[in-house]
Amino acid sequence: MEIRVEAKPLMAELNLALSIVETKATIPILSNLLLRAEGDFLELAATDLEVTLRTRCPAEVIQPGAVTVPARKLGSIVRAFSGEEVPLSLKTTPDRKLFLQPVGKRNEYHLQTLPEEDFPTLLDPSAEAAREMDAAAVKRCIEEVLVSSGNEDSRFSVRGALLMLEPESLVMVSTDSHRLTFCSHPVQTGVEAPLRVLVPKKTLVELLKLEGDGGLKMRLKDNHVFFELGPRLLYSRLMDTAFPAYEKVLNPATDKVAVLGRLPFLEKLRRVSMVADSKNRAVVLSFDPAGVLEMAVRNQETGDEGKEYETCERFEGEAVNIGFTVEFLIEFLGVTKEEKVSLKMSDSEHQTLLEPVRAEGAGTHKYVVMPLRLD
Amino acid sequence: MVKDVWTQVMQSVKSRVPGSVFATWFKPLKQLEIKGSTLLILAPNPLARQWVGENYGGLLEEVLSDLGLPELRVELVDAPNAPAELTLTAPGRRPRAPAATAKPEAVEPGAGVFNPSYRFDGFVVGPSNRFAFAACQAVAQSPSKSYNPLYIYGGVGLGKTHLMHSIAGFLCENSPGLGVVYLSAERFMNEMISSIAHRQQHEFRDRYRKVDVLLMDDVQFLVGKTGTQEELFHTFNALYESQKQVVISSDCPPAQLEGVEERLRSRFEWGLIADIQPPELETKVAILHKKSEAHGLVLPEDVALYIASHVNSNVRELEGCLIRLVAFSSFKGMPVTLDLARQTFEALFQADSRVVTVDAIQKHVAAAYRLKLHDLKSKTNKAEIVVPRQVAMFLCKELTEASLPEIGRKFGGKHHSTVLHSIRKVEEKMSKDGAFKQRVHAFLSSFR
Repeated sequence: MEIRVEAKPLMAELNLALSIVETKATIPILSNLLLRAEGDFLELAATDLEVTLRTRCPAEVIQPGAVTVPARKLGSIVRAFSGEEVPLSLKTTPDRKLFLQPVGKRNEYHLQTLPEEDFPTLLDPSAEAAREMDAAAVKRCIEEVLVSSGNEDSRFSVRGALLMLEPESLVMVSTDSHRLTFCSHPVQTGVEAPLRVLVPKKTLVELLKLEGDGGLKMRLKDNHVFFELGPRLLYSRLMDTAFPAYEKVLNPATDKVAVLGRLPFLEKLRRVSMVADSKNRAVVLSFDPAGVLEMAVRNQETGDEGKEYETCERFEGEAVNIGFTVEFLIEFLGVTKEEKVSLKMSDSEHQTLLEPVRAEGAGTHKYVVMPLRLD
Repeated sequence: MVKDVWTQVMQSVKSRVPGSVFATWFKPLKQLEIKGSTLLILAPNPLARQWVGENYGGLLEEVLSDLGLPELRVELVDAPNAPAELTLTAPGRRPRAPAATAKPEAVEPGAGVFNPSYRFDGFVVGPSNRFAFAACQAVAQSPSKSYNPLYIYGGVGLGKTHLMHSIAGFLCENSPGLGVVYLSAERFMNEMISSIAHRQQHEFRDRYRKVDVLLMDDVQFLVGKTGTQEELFHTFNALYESQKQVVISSDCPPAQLEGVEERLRSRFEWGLIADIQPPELETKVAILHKKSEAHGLVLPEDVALYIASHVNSNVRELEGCLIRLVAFSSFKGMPVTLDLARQTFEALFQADSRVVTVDAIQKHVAAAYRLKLHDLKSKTNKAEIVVPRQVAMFLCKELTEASLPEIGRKFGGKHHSTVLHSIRKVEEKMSKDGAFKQRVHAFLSSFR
């Protein structure tokens, strides 16, 4: 294999690939990237066996071929050279090393390689029918749903999100057993019958990093889901855990409604959260019937206290005190983009529903949170 | 339509099977739909599907044909891995697993918490321990009715723990429903410490305040541990109020538990206080016979007497001697005889018979009464000094070869008649005052 490639575009792809590679891979080959030179591009592939990324970058291919090299080492060297004007020359040597040199310069690097056959087999879904969706809308949906995606898989916590395609909408749901996000965006999905899959969290996180706004192609094949955006193909195994039946949680019984400006609410919560204690991170929201909201934090560990006030644009119902994990509110308010949000509450024993105030038909984003018990 | 058919089927089934069968197997079934000539029924789990299919398939067919729908066939399906209904929980607090055991380790016979080989019938009763033994038996036979609390005290190796274990074993065998807990005061303290560390004080309290019989060994360990005393005080009150049996053992009577709070001491004195005295020669011989039986050995009378007369008071020591003798005889391949016993213990008993001097007695008594040595030898006649001095003189007469004038000289040049008077005083007091007698005997045994 011998190629010449510009450092900057190569680095952009390497960055994407590096976030797939596990820092502590148990199998040595998984710390490596697969490089394959073909036609007029260099293909890079990285996998952790769950999530795989295949991407390409334009290159001058002198001799086609493939090799695998340690991902982080290659990444740091290419990063160090990305200021160079001249392209990089990469070629395999007879002693099975990868020779790397800026064209016409005297510095040279020889990296240890592993044979390409050792790399896990890459899947090619191109034979399957693709559903093309608006990438921006999908990413928006993922951002919203990642907030409440769990960090562990248990009965009511899923380290991923439920993705449902309906003919005219894209629905995603996630829960970590304390909160639930349900978002539905009007997207032309191109499916005839509803489709329902469970996508791992890492896949969603990596999907957000893929650039390009055009059409995102989604394919399903043999228990894998494939996302293709421009030259990049990201795919992963589907989760086989059961997503809990969430429908009943979605519409909690509430008797109080508050509508607040999102940004001032968020700003004040961020400020008051600075004194919250490291353990339960509690903030107590107290609404009085006149619609004045007090956000109070009392640090049990140090005795620090903080209070912020905000006037609701609208408040209906009786006075109420509800405690929340402050990050739960901040994360939701940080990810919605609308100007106003509404809180529908009953008491500190029952779920509160947070929603951005949206125009009709602009999709829904429901965020159900279990309050902290006050004592 | 579907609903109608299934409702009719259910009504008909209800009249044909026992109520419990209907409630267990038929009630949870739900109709799904009719597909052609198949009535699709959803069973809650694979077991229910299989059970109903195998045992009541015929019945269902019968019912359907009775309803005039013989062409309908029932097909049972179960929902594989039906997702659980999501419930959100308040963050931060993981639902804690229910406290390890609501009922404390209700000890079963031989469960290892107490020693099953300690039984009442293995206890050698003599005049020195008869009272304690009877009290323990009474408690074991009717806990919380006879003596509550029962406080047993006595020196080391006299059988306090044996009696406690016997009570626990007896209760577990004869009243298995009772929550019996035996533990040492030291373990009580350790558990309390760990409960504080793990924030499980509530569970800790629950564990000991809900038992039916609490046996606590070696409470003298609590001396100076005020936190544990406080906890025990409340535990004691809780148990006492709900009329649960408490048995306590210690190495001294409650009044002498210095460093234990008054309120706890006085509570220990509420019930019955039983002491175990060091065994007399006859009892010691009996113990030796009993123990040697357990070793499968017939101990000659003279050997038993030899050991018993040389080992002072401690049953544990007696047993140790016996084991030593058994080991010796099997090493040497010789039968157990007095000669062998003499050989075995020669060095041991000689080293043990220390020479008691007047000085040693004075030092010991002064220390025990927290006096200075020269106080004992001074001329003051203060009551707090006179009594110890008299005791010391008495001990010197009992334990040493010294004559009365010699003793007098050692006590700062007292006349021999003073010494004689002191000794008589002590004897007189001993005959009247039991606690005093106790104390003097304790001194005597500590030198012997």
